[in-house]
Amino acid sequence: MQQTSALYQSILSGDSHWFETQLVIEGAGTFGETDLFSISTSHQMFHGSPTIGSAVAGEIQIKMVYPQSVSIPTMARLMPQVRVCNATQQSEWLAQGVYFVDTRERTVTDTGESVLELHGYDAMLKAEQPFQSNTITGDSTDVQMVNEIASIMGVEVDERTYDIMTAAYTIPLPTGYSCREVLGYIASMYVGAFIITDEGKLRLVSILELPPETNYLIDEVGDAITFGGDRILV
Amino acid sequence: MSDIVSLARRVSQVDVSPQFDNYSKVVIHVSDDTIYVAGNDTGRTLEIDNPFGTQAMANNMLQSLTGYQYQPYEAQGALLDPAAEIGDAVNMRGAYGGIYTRERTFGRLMKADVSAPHDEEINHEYQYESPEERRFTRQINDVKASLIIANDRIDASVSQTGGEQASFGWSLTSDAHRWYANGQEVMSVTASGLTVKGNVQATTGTIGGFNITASSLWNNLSSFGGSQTSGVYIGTNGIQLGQRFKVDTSGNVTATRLTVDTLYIGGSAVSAATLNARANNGNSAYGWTSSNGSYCTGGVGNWYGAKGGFGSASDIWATHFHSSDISYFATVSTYNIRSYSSGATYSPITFTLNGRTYHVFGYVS
Repeated sequence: MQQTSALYQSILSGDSHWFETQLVIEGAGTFGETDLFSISTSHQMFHGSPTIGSAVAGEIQIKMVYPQSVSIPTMARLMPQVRVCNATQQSEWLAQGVYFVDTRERTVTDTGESVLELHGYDAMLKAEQPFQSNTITGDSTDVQMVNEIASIMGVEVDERTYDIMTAAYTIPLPTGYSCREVLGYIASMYVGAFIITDEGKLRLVSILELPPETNYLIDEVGDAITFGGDRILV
Repeated sequence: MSDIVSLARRVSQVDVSPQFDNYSKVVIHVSDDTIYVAGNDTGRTLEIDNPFGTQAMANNMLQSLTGYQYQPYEAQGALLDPAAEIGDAVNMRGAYGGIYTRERTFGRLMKADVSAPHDEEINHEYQYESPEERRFTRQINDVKASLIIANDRIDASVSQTGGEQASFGWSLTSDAHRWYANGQEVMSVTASGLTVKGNVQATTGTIGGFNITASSLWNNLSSFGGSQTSGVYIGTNGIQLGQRFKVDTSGNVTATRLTVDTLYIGGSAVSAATLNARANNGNSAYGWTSSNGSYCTGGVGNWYGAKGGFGSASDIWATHFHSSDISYFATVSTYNIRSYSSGATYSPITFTLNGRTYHVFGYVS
């Protein structure tokens, strides 16, 4: 999970809370709920079926009021954010992905409103290019290879990736392979898949890293009952 | 490590499928010819394609999968904490699984559909591929080709991942055209020219001013026996340098002048001293030794100043011999020596030695 503040967790655990959304478009500004008709995102570790070794790009679909006063740059970053609120408080904004504009379409509703529809992919699609490196010219370790591909993609590597990649497998120079293929092969070595996190970082997720199942004492709606702030394990 | 998100009852609908069985076998397909297998058939098999696979990798994967059971589920309309990420675990209505797909709709409730999909395509308990799938896989594996056109280069490659592990490709960039085989550069064309690493075959053309034909390499001397003053011919008929040196395919050497350190005649070395001795003895190269009839080397039995040399196989002609050699002729079965004085008419001395007849037009000195 993303790290959140105590305020976020406090509001979230309250009886009455809701979420607010804003969309930051690189080079065009920040758009609030009054400008947004709908936002939906899609992420998956697998290509539809439970396989390992994938590197699937996340997608975003946006409908918003057509911005008359600003133009949205080509392949601009789309960064939706949410925060949790109650009647008196609002938390910090929480990143909900970093995407890049793929297609845009302007439509006009029956009531005459101009609507902008944006579709975008996250940075995983930038791995869809042949591996070519000035740094790696021969055999390398899997970690070196992931770092280099992240550099090619222009993203950071999520630190949790290194906790999984401990075998230090040797990767021959992947001539003729795309960066995404190489990521997929490395992911399969660790029984997992590469994704782009909500913070826009490259992360290896293994299906083997699920924590052991635990059951806490909960109330009728499923919230954990705490004792002095600690959940009660049953 | 991933975190656990408790959804409890905050979900519209949950469908849970039975857990997969434990994995007992890992198969890594590296190529058509190379497969690494770990484990046995007592449980589920995990198969992957990975050109970087190793046996150790298969062993490690099997070890890490020990005890793991995949739990498929699908939860719709979940009030999922926006901080939850792909890979986290979710606990809801008695089900527990990973968040492996997430479809979110942004709004006041931030509803999401999450799942660990059930559909299985490659993780079969019984490993089966239809004939069409196998044929397609073989074709894909036989030859993998790519053509990449980018703004700064064009790359093409063909990789054969069968038994020979052979591959070939080329790259065209702004400064070079390079060809590769088995990952090594074998030819390049740059502004400096052409570089080839390996075998070159040509049946026509020129190279460095030399003309290439199917049977020769020549410069200003297109055929063996040509009359050009200068030039080079190297071909199937021999070797020739200008007019004055040539060697034919029979080994016949024609040269205006030879400088030789050691000369071999009939398999024996003839030293410079020997040649000098002959030159000093009347500038004649002919003579013989008394012992075996070979060429003259000076000393007893020398005959020099030969008039006719070895005129025939059985007749030797000479003009003069030393008196010291007369004693040698005591061993000769038949001989006749006549003295010679200056101005007198001489008659040949004739004798027979070892089946040869010798005629000496000269005198004893």
